[in-house]
Amino acid sequence: MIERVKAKDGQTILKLNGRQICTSLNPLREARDWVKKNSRRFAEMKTVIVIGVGCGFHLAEIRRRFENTKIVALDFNQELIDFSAETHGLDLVGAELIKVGSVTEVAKNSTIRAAIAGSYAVVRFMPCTNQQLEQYNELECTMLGRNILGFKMVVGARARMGEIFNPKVNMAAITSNPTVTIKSLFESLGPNETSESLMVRALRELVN
Amino acid sequence: MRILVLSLLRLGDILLAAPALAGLRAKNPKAEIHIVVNQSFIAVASLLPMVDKVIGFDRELLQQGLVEADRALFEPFDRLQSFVQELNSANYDQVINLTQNRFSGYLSALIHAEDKVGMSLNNRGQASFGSTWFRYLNNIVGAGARTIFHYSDIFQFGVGISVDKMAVIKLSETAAGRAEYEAWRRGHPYTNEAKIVLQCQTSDDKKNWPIESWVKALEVLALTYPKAELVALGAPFEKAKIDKFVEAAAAKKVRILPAFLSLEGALTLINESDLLVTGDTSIKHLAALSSTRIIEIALGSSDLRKTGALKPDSIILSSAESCAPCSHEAKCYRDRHYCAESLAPELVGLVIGRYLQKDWQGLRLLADEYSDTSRIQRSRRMVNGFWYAEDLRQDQLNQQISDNLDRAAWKFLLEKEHTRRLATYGSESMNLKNWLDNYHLVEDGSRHLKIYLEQIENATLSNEERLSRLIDDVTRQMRTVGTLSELDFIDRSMLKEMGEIEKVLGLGHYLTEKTQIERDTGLFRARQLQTSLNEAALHQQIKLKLVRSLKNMILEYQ
Repeated sequence: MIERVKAKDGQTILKLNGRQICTSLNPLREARDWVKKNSRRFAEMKTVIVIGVGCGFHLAEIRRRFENTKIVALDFNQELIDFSAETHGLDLVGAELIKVGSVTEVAKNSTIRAAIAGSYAVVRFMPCTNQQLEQYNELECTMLGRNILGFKMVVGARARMGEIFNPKVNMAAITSNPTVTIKSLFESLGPNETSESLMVRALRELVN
Repeated sequence: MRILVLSLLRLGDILLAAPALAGLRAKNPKAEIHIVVNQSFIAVASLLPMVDKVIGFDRELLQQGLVEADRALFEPFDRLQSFVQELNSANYDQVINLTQNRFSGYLSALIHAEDKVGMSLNNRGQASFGSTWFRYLNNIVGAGARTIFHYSDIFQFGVGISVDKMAVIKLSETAAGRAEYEAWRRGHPYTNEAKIVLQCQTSDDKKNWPIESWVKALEVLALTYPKAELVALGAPFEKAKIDKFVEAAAAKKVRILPAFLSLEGALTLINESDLLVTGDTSIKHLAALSSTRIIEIALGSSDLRKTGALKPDSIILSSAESCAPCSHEAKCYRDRHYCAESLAPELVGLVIGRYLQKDWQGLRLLADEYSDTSRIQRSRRMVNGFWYAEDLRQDQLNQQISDNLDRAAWKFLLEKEHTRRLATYGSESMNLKNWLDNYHLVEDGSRHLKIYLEQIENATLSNEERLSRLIDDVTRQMRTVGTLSELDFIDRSMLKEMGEIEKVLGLGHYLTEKTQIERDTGLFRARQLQTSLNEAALHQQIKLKLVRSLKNMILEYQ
């Protein structure tokens, strides 16, 4: 159940099932601090995928600080999306707020596929994802490409990746690990001479 | 022409490459030279006027993306791709990789350029070097050879700087550095006494000499230089350690002034001083490009043969412990830090005093007196261009003659001088003779020298013959055992002989490691081994010609 309440600074915020999904003191400051903390990760990325729409203050703050970065925000709750769109209106122009029915269906969403085809960072706004924790965890892991579903989704969205990580041939190294890492990527490389393959090899050298 | 240089290790390595960069600039005055360094060292840009652009590489951000599970799997990939695209948009004609690691090898391969110098790796992990010098760095230095070239020389020769173009470069101080120094100096009135800058902290505990030893050394120095101005130099983040040093010295009535300066400020401070006493630090490499003199305390993994104080006539103090220098990666395996303990504080104090007085004879006496525990070496540069550290003990000349003949022969081989119709064995020997003139051996008609050169000649001849026999054995074995199988084609007696000869020649594991290549067939191993044996044999042949030429030259002068 969703209810509207006033934060101490006068902003309208939401409670979900009786619990706040952003701070009730100063949601604008919370959003600023959150973006500041993550800003190095947004730099040079075409898209920021945000897990958790919440009350939308953090999305508006990203839009304000990173005008040229595309924002894709995912949530399981349509009411939160509606509230953010209504509250922040113009501050969220160009941001895509997407309701996710189930994690398995994100791979079919054309907006998400377009986002992950280029450079992107995934960030999670924890205050609004503490409820339905497991679902949000799975969604985040998938968007990060760190589980099998996510890995296949990202590779499928990127044309040239299919050449170097042939799922039919090289999935053994990926599927043997619960979390997909650079090491499993490296082990799953097929014999090819692409620059993408060289890049994976280079990155492998940066970790022990 | 556009040239991109990769220098992706530490600050000291970038500074160590400065002479090569200056040579590159002199060789290509109109070229646009860019250098990629780790983002944390981007401040070095102000000290590299020979470079047009310093590009920061955010290795830390990439590594975070790789090891933190809440980062998108392909985030580091995307960042690296974007970085490479940006580099490629500059359309470089040449890439020079001064970083001898696999990451930089792949990065070099990713950059589109017609000419690649230094390690470049393909998708099978196979390396190409584009230069005999960088191949030498990988194969010979990497195999743990005993007599090697200084990294700075390898870089200079590797990028094609000829000996006559090798210049001693001095970095110019910057206005910001001068202002920082002046601000520091305002709190510490100028005196006419000897000014000694001390850098007691290195980035690696293994390389550190204990604070108590530093203080004792300074107490000894105070006996001859009671009014010397002692300055403890450190970066702002080292404040706690420097303060501890200053306090420990004050307790012994030794006054040390702390100075926390940026790299630019440090350069001005060093330029204004008479001497820097330091461990193996980036400041040492900075001082090598300044006007001050250097005493280096080389402990732990500091390998003076590779990175010793570059400036000629510097002093390098090290331990006589057999484990030194140790590996960079491994922790000290001994129960105590013996290399640091064996370097006596009174020796360091006395060396500083003698060095300030330019008392080389006094330093030689100290080298003999403390030879049980320590080594005192003087950095020198040969006429034929290469750096070496001269051991100041009196009985070391023979070894140095042999070592320098070894280096001269390698230089000859790597520069492919031996392939020329009129190879300049005579000129090279003349360089060696000129060097020996410094020791007054040639004019004195030293019989000892003649005998020693004959010994080297005989040993070289014998080594060359042993290598030729091994080459014949390997070739025969390849024919008889069959090269298509995975069967080991090296029998035990050959392996033993190979181990012995690489020990005699000081080649580390240059030969035997070829028999242990795992991923390829017997034929591949055999070819690799043949190449290495041929190169080692060729080196001995060149050395033989040089020693004979030198011997004849000395006989003519007698």
